[in-house]
Amino acid sequence: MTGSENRLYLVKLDEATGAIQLDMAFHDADGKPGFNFADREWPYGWRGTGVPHGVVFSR
Amino acid sequence: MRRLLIALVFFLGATAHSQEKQTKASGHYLFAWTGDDAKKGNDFLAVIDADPGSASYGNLMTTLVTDQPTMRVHHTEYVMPASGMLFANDHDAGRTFIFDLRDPLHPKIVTSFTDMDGYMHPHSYLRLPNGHVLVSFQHAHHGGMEESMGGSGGLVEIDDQGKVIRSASSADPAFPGALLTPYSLVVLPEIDQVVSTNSSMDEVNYFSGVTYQVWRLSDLKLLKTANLDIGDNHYGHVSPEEPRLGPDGAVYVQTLGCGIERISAVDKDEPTSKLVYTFPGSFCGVPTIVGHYLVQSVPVMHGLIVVDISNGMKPVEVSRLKLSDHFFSHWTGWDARRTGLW
Repeated sequence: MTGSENRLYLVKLDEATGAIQLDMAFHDADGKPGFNFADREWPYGWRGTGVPHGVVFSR
Repeated sequence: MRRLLIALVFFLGATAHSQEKQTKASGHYLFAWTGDDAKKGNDFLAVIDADPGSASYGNLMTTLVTDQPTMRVHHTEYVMPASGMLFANDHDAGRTFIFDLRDPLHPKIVTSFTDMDGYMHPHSYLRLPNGHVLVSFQHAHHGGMEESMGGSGGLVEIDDQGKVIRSASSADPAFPGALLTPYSLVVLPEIDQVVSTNSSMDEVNYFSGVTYQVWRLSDLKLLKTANLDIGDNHYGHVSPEEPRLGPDGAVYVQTLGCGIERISAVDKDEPTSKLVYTFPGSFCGVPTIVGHYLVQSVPVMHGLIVVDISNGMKPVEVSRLKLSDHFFSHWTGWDARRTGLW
């Protein structure tokens, strides 16, 4: 990976103060904060490193 | 480096909309539109558990692969639409997919499209009050007068089945030579208007866009093209990308030059832009406004900066978060479902 990490983070925002902090509880099997897209076996049968861009929550 | 994208997603306190019932609400998930870093595989959608009460919180639940070889996996809609039909593109392929995500663990591809009504390279997707999507297309097929310009595209209204409803060109003979390639937009139904930005996805023109446009929503008539305010640093206005409606009714535009342009009096004949803030560095990405806070991804500090825009003319930094020594922050999104401090 060049210049970045293949990782998606969740961040908590305090709407009263604007303070932000990393959501440490959101993590993948590697135990590190965030979701790891690097070098993994994907359910549809491909192994490789993903690059995420647009991300949307369900309603 | 718009091609190097890592996602940041925010939990934000907000009230879930009543339209929620239109989707199958079981669990809570993140949909990450993903490409192959090596550009040998295909674009796919990753579904991740986003329910903090779940034992599998943060784990991958399923994927849906497309037949599109990764070129430059790019924008999705910014929030999940009420219909559960999500638009997402591979920009360099000029192709948009429409996903049916009403059953999150069993995502489906509804259809895909490329050029529409004479326009190509769709970029951003904003919902209209009628549920259709207003899409910014970077380029137009037609030449003629526009060939002598810096380039133009258009806005196209499309329904959830990928059918064209109407379209309009961003070309403006009053701005000969200007780069008028629509990047993103904000829909303002209360005043029957749309504000779009002009910024290029082509590397040679990354820093050529300096204008915004105002449209009438009801008939997609282009009302005005205007230059953004040039601030003291002479770069904060360059390459306007993401416009967002602020709490004061003004439109706040993030630029690739890491500025915030505040456009006021949009509903008047002479809207005015003002560069009100500049973040450090360049290549700032997709912002999110929550209440009177604007959250901005700032690659040079490998994280985020939050500014208070209670006084829109003088934003004030209230917090920042560095995520690592290398993280190239870009996309921010928000979670309308969860409430409280997250």
